[in-house]
Amino acid sequence: MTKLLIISTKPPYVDSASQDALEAALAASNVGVEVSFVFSQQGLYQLLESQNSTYLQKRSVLKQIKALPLYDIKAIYYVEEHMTDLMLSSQALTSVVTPIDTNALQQLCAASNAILRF
Amino acid sequence: MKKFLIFVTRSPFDSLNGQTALSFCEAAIALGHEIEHVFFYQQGIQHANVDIQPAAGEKSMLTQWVTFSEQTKTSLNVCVTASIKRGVLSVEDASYVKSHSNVHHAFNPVGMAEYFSALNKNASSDTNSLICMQF
Repeated sequence: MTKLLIISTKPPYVDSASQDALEAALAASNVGVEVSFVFSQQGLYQLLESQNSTYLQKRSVLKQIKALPLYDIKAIYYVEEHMTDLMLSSQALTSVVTPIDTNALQQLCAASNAILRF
Repeated sequence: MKKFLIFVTRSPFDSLNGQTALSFCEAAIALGHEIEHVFFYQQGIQHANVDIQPAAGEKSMLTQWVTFSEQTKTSLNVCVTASIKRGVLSVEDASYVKSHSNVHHAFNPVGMAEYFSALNKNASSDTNSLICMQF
C-alpha cells in the first residue's frame, strides 16, 4: 500500500493551506492510500481546542481534523518541539493528535512513498 | 529511467515554482525520464486559467505548458475542487453556474483521486517506482 505523508505547516483560516491539506488527505485515503498527517510549525495552531471559526463563516478546521479517523486516517501527529517554540501546551491541543519528536518525523519521512507539504 | 509525478501548488504570477516545475519536466524528459502527469493544486490551478494576461514582455506560462504538453504528450491535470473555488471553471462547471469556462482545453479537469491513483498504481508495480515532486 502506498504511504503518503502530509505535512501541514500553516495556521488555520489565514489562507487555504490548512483546508487544502485536509482535502488532499481525504482524497488520498478514499483511493486506498495510507495517509499519515503531521502538524508542524505554525500548523499546530490548527489543533487549538479554543478556536472558533463562526465569526469568519468558515468550516471549522478542528472539526475536520477530529473527523479524520472516520476516514481511516489514524496516524495524526504534531511536532512536539514546535509546540514549545510556539509556547503552546499539550492541554490546549485536541487529543486526537499524538506528539512526535523530529527524529520520529525523519523516520516517518523516510518510510513514506510520497510527501506533500502545505 | 525514472518516472516522476509533478505537483504544482503556486500560481504563475506570484511564484517561480511553476517555471521551475516546467524546467524540471523538460530536463527530465530530455534525459530520457518520464513524467506520469503534472497535477495542479491550490493556487497552481491558475496555470490553466486562459483569462490571465501576462504583463507586456513577459512569457505566458500557459503557452509554455501547452507547448510542452503537445510536444511530449504529457497530461496536464487540474484539480476541479481547487479550481472552482478560485473561479477557474471547466466547461461542465461553467454550465452549472451559467458562466464562461476559462480552463484551457489542454488541461484535464480531474479530481484529486487522479493524482493519488497514479501514486497507488505505480507503487504496486515494482518495475518503476514513482518519484513525487512538489513545486
